[in-house]
Amino acid sequence: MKWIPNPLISGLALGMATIPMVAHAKVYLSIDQAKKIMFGTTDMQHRPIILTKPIQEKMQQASSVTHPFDSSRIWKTPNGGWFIVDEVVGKHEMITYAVGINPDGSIKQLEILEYRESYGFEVSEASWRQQFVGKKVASPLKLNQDIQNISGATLSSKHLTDGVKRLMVMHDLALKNI
Amino acid sequence: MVKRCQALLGTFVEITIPNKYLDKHVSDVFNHAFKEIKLVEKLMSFHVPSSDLSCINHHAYEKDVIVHPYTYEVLVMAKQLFEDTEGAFDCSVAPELQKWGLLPETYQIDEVERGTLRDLDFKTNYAVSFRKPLCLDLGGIAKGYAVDKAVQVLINYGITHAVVNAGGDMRILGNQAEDIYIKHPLRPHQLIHIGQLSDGSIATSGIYYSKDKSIHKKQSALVVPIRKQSMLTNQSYSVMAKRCVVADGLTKALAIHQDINAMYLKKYEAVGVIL
Repeated sequence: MKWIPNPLISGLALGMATIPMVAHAKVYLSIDQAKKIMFGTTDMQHRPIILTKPIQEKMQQASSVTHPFDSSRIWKTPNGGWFIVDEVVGKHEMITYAVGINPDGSIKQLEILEYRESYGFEVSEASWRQQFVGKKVASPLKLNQDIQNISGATLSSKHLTDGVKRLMVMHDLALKNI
Repeated sequence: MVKRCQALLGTFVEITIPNKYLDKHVSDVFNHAFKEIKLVEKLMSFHVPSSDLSCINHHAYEKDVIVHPYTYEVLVMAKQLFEDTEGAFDCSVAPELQKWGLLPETYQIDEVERGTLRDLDFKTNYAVSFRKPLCLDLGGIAKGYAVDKAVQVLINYGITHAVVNAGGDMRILGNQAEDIYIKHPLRPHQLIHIGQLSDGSIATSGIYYSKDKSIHKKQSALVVPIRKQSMLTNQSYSVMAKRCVVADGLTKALAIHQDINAMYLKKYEAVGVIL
């Protein structure tokens, strides 16, 4: 092991070693890459669906996830499996993920596609989208995309578990028999 | 850099390897490394009824329980750290975490008869037993161990530089130095650049998010073992060590003793930072 401490952290200069993290984003996989990793192909049938109100309510009850589900990102695989992209929105973070579902309805794989973290203002669903969508380069927000190794902040994946629960309910009620 | 991230061990595990490995079967490499972490989770989760950990908590007081070699290795390490830190690292405080709503109360032990980690015995053929009733939680060490196992998979594939980060417990493989940041313990929107690390691991303990998750708002997952009390602190405790399992375990001891010159840090050639 080789450890080179930042000299600024010992003593009064700590502030100089501190950098603000207004917005922080990481991109792991594109939708096509995730399709390929999970099912070995991007050749899938795009099957956006319209969810009835009772189904939406059941999804919410079963998962306690309240933010609306964007049902346009659903694909059916040639062998009868499903590939769904969804987001979980926390207080400060938004995580885009993909779930692969086997033809028998079991979860095949779960991959994180993007992770975005933001501080300094209240985050609501709408503002999250506005901040980031299509603004990666020209955004007035400084995205700390170069910061990789952050210790000391175990982010719980509980939200994600709830999100996946919601998708599985949707699969059961709306996709299974398509 | 090629990065992949999966939700494992109750957090987000990120594996980063340089682009030059793209020609290898990079998907296989990632899948294999994540599979290893999943195995550690399956064996050592407090929440999974069929895990080795649940099995020993339920039965090791009555009889010898044979566990997976990985579980055995972690338990040996846990007892060693318990002894080296004079009880400051103690994975037998699960009953306290249960009382505070931080762990499910699926299993309860008799408080009067309750033992300590000294009552954990190791037998041949990966069998373990308790001399007194114990309830263990490996949450303070298994994450670091899982990171080490994932790194070993990468090494086996011939990868010489990589970063595996399990919710802040991370290991840098190779001699290329990586900048290390920690979240400011009081202001999560600020990062502190604490130094550069190569060929080693870092883990950090603090209250951070655990305070908010607890039913009892003032409890944290950091337990002072001797007094069986929750530790309330505004500081964060980081340990750098070669192996992530060591860094993970020793952060808890550093938080209790608050001594960056402690003997056990020297024994493991580890460095402690309190901020």
